Amino acid sequence: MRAVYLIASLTLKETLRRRLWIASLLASLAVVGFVFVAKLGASVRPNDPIVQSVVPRITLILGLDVVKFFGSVMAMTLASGAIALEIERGMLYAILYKPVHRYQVVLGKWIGVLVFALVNTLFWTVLLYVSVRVMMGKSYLETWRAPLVVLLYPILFGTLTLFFSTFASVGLTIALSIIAAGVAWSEKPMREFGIVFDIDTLLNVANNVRWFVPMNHLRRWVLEEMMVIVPERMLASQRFQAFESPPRGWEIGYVFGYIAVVLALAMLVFGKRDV
Amino acid sequence: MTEYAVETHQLRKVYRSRLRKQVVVAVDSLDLKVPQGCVFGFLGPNGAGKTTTIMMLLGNVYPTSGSFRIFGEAISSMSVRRRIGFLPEKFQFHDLLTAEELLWFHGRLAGMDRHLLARRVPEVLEQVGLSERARSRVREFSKGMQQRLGIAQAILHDPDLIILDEPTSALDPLGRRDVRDLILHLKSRGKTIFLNSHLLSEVEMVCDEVAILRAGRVQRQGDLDMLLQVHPVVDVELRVPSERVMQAVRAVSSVLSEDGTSFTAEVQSEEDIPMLARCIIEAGGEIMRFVPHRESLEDLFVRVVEETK
Repeated sequence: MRAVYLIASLTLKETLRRRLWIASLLASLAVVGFVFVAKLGASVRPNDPIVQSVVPRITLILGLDVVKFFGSVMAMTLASGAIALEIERGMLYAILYKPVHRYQVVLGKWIGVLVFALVNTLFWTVLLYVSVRVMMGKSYLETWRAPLVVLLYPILFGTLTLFFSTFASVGLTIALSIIAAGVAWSEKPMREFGIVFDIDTLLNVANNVRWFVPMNHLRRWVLEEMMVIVPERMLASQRFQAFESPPRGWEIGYVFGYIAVVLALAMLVFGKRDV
Repeated sequence: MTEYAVETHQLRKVYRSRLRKQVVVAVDSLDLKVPQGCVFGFLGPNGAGKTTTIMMLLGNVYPTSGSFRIFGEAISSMSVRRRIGFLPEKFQFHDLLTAEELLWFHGRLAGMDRHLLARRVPEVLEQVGLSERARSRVREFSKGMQQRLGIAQAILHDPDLIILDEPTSALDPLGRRDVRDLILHLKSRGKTIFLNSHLLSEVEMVCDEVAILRAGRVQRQGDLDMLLQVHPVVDVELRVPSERVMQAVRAVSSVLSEDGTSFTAEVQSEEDIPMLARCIIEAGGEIMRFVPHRESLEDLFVRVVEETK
């Protein structure tokens, strides 16, 4: 395990020295800025009890979407260069001949990339909750499980990108990751259009797409954990219920299994390829 | 215990491009035997398959067929990997680390403990002339300094087989001399050096054995002195060109090149050199210059590559 630890530490050290914390800082400002803008919006009607009740809750729900986005993008950015870039630049040659198994290189990179992405995602989440508390005077600590699910976003996309990185060039890795994220994102609109316009084909495609990149399982799971603060009117909507059925236990298991299988595939593919 | 550091048997690597339906044979039926403790020159023109061979020996590229052993073991063995040091041709390191940090990382990865590294890191930095830059980040280093650092990384864990792929490509003449001295020092300690270089004069100075590769196949392999003693060559300049003299010269040697009053002749052995001079004089030739010389590695390399085209 020493090799894994060494490679993970190196990846983390390089990330810190590449000043990626500046990007993290900018994302933090965006999170705080988002809450601030929402507060400004709410302050237009200070005496409307519905606005004062709904806006903080919507801010938190949408704020978590912002955090998910930044966390996923950061993990994808780091993972896209983790192996492909080091092969292209020739950095891995001095490592791979050492008494190190290739799966240890992949595992070390995976840990290094994800530690940085997860620490940042956690930081932005805490910042979001603190901002809502400070600026809007509301704390929703009962939703504490939702941020834990949000942490799975960078793990999912970081793992997938690292897998692409084991066999593709940097450019192709980035392209494949964007396509994967796009496919995952398209599930929700396809499902919505399918239901609204009663198009079975769209629903079928959406049902199949969800297995390729199971992001929507996570999204629905986050929403399930946030349900206690989802405004009543929204909850009552039939359409909302049709779109957002809560995930079943095995779907959650599928997400964990998916991540484990993709990581195992990354190790297998990198172990078999010529470098 | 095997007497060979590297032994390959019918090693072959074929690259297939499915899109373009192209097949490139990078290495073909490669049989190499590198004795332990020698400096082995691995030569060949660009695209001959040298780097592919090295990558296969290191386990980075999988052979299509054939087999090889390093110190009698497969490269998948972790114990044999501990005995290898490698400087890649395309050397680039994690450049945000300092030289010291980088060597600590590679040393730990090679299985060295902290006490040993605390002693070895300053030692190898001194050996490659970088001790004053130990705490500088690698990105501040020139190409030559990075290559020196790469050599330090390759010898840090005191390996028995050191594979150097173009170790002096970025170095100035002084740096090249340092690397030459280092290679000879390592050899004196019983290490095996597998050297891939285009600088044939350097190779000639340090190598005991060479293999010349072309189109993925070994064309010549053996003891360098034996290979170079095959055909002595004589450069001759006459006062005036004479067909009679040239006929006499052709009778005892083969003329490699002819240009007005000058020609280069190849004789079968060193004993034939005085006979060549006698023939020229007896045929009425007036010799202005007569320079016998042993074939250099460069001559041999060019000849082998030309012959096998």
